[in-house]
Amino acid sequence: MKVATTVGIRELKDRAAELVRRAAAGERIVVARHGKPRAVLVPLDAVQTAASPRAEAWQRERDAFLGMRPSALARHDGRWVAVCGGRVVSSDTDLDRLSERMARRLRGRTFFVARVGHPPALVEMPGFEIE
Amino acid sequence: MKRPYDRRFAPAAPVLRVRAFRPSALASVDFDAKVDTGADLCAIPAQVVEALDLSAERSVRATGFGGPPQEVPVYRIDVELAGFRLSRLEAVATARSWALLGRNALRHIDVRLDGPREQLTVRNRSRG
Repeated sequence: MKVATTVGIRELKDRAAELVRRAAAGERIVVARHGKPRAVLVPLDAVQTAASPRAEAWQRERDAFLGMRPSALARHDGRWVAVCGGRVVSSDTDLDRLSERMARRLRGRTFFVARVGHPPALVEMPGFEIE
Repeated sequence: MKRPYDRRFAPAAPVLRVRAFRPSALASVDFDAKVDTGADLCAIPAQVVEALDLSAERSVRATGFGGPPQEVPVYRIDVELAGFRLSRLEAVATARSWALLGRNALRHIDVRLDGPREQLTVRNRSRG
């Protein structure tokens, strides 16, 4: 990890192109005003890939589901399952009912929901720009 | 409740002011949502997902502006609009600054679009 470089507002103005180039290359540039750090220039990738703890937890549960052996899921075939803590904690034929039950039971803990034996549903969003 | 179409869009578009909550929480974010009967699900600005620290549950393959379907997380939100409260609605995140009110939300409310008058009416069906 590179050490941060601190620059003032005037230096930022005078050397903007160079500082942006260095930040894009991975250097952390701290912008200070009156000697106090106020902002940071970081590579765009660092912002786009930064995931919240909740998003990371969801991704872990999703990975756990995708890594489950088909035989372990066979008895849930065609049903919606909720995965929490790396294991199936409940299943239902109705997505909304399962979601509501899990939200009550797990009290804010992150869980992943999928339908066993089915790929993620295809949804049409004609006016949609994917984030 | 009647509301004129939003003329920031061309042609003017039916838009509702929405207040979104993380399910069972008090913190909220307000934003505009365009009524979109062509959208299977609601879409909310990514900043709203971040601000409310929303939880994803399942994923879907979304088809939007061109390109192949892309797998995206689906979040749950509670929303208030035109005096209605809709709980645990599903929504995907969008890079746009406004939201889309898709059919998973519209199926719960009575929305009338008067194109020539550029006016949107939301009726409470329980009151007739």
